[in-house]
Amino acid sequence: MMLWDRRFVAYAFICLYLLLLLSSCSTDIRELNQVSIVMATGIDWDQDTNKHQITVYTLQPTSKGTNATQQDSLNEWLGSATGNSIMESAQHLRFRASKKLFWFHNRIFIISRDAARHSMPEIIDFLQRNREIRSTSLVLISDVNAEQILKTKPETQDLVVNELFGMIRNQDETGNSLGISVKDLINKDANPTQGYITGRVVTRTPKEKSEPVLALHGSALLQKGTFVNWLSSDETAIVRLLTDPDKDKVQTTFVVKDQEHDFDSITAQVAIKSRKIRSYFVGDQPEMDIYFDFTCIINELKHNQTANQMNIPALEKVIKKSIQQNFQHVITKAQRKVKVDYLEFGNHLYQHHPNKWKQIQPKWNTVFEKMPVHVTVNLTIWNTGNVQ
Amino acid sequence: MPNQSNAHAAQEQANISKQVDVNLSTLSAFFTDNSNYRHRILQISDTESALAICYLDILIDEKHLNSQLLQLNLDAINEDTVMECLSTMGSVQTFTDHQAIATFLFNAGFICLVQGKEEAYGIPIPGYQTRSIEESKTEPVVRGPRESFNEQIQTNLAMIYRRLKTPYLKTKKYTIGSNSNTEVQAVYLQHLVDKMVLAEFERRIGQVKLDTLIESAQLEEQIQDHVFTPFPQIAMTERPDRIVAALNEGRIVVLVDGTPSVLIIPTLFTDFLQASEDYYERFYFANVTRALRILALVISLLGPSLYVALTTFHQEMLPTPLLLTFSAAKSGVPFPTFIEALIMEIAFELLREAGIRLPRTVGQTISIVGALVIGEAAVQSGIVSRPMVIVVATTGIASFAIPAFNAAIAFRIMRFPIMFIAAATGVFGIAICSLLLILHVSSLRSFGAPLLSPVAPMHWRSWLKNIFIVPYQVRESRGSGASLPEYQMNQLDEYSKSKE
Repeated sequence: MMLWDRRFVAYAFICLYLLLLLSSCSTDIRELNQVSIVMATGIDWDQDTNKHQITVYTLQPTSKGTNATQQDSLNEWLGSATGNSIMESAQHLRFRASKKLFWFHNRIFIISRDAARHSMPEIIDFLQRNREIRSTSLVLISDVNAEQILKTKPETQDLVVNELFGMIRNQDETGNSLGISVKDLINKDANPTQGYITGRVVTRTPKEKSEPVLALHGSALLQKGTFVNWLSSDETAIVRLLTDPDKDKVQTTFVVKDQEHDFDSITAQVAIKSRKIRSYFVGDQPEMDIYFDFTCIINELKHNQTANQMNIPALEKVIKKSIQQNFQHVITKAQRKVKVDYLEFGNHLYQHHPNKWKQIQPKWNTVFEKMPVHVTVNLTIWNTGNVQ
Repeated sequence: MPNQSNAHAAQEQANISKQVDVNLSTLSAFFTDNSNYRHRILQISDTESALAICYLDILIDEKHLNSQLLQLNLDAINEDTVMECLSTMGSVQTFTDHQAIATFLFNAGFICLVQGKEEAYGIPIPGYQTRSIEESKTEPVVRGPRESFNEQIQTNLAMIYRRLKTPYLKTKKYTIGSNSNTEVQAVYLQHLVDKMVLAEFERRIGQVKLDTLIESAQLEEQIQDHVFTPFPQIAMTERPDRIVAALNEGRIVVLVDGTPSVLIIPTLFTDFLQASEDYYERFYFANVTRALRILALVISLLGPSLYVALTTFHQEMLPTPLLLTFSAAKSGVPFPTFIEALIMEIAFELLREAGIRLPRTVGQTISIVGALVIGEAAVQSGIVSRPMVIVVATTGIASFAIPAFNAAIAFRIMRFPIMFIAAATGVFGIAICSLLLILHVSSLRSFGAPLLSPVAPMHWRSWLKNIFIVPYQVRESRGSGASLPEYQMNQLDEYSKSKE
């Protein structure tokens, strides 16, 4: 039996070598009570001074008392600093911050409209370069100063950032707004021919309150690193139905006012069963066929008795027609009025006709404006609700 | 030094003489200053020849001896009939030298010396107190046999014999220890045992050098493959059912007189994670428990290290609400997380050690004090944070969930160096440590069988036998119903040579 194992000596040496790392690596240690956790960041740009401002909403949890009933409290800190660039402002923030700012858990970035209009490329670059920023954080555009949004008192006892996060999550049910991730923002912005949308956050004072509260309202349209326009909630819903990569997730509600039939007013909740987009060329002119198959649940009817079995095909027809009109309206608006392709038609052509796309890409804006788009909607009423 | 010189003189007269007196004086010289040595001379009337008996009074049943002697027809005893007469008292062994007689006396027997005979006769008649067969305290089960081995090797062997009624069951007796002369029995099933392992075992046990063998651990130390590893390579149990299962798998079990711990040779790492009850409950449950034990092993090894690494290096890996909770708990704690972990771990180990060594009556006090110190006081006084208490407690519980105590303590020890490295290098260090540990364990062998088999080297089919439990109907069975673990025995020959 060999008492001294040669491999043991080798392991011992490796362990000793690892011990050498002790001193060199310990500077990376960041004890939990030395950090301030940034939960949301606002980015503003001031036209008069031509300076950027960064506002952080941070949490420094502490526990009060030491007995069994001790309660944790979250010390909120809202700090802002200005500078000639975003990074400089972020560094100036350290003049005020008492602890290490820790960005890994930042969940939401709020960019003011002015900043989005003036310095979106810098913002995107900042988000891209910073190692601590998670690509899954969400980006929202505000029409007031981002600082003001973060200063707004939350309606519930929760944190502002949790409220905003919850609002964004709720939008999947209605499709009326959204929040795109930093990763998507970076990817989408890299394509100059395509516009893209992200949520719009506003402050408004509801009747029952005296102080302003936060709300999501439609979306902001951006293209080529600049803010273009606001989109309404209904338009956002249609755009999401057309472009959302996760088609099973999106659903939306249509209210159909129909004077010609007995139904009068129908509220229908629709979800995508299948979505087919086909592009083809007639000569040099691209054309689009969009086919939607929806499943539909009737949420509300003005005249209950109309929801009997006989009327279902008629109901379907009315809802179908209305949805089709909505689609046409949004597409026409994008083509004629806004003149920005935020419906991802260009992407579709690039994927399916890469050679022809190369030819039309330089003049895509003019081609897009004139491109015929045919929308066909099929719809099945799945459920007419509980009232028989 | 009169005693020594007497003993030397006795040894010189090693062979038994025809004269009873001479023999008795030699033996008396052997047992000078031994108050428990007794001899009686019984005169046989008509022949005038003498019959002497000698014994150690504390080891034999004197009452029984007396009643046996009364029944003995002393007149009928002469040189020719002595054997015949004595065999009515028990199985008779014959000795021709004094050294063997002395050993026999220590093994609780009495010796008969007859005038004119150049040999002595020994009959075992043990009369000392032993612990009765009790329920296992270290390996208790809900379902299954309750009895466990005790300190007497004969009782232990009987428990094995009762369970394996086959002539293939073989035992080999060894006497180890120049002072203790402890009986060691190697038991195996002849048709299932791996002959190479048996040969290797015999070779190794032949080289054991010990003065006194008290516990099978001493034997284990000298016959194991690797000395400087923290991991045991020979499993130990005190449950006869587990021993029988091991025999049925073709292993050798080694019983040592005076200890209930029985060794199983060779051992696989999976043995340390198995309890005999796994086979007594439904297999779903057993598989879940085994998976839990693997989890317990990982937790007991890496628990505090992971906490230290995650909260000081990789806060981004924690979900935000969890980070906020940890962060709140950490506020106001004066020590770095690593020191906190070290304080708690040391406190816990102290408590555990104190709990084992304390008398039962005081044990209660320790558990109350421990619960207060570790649970409440440490947090209330702000010395450690609440999550740290939970982490240390979970780690402690996890280490108790490993059935084999000798393997569990190995992981307990390894936890500390890994904690140091985690505090310096984070999860990267933990990964490196785990890798080194896996490399090390996979290099270990138990009597030539790779300890990590069937994981390394990989034998998928053996997984069904050694890692998971599948119903009998699914399990690939041998003709006898027994299943051998698939060791890789091919390298044993070269291996033994390299060790020499």
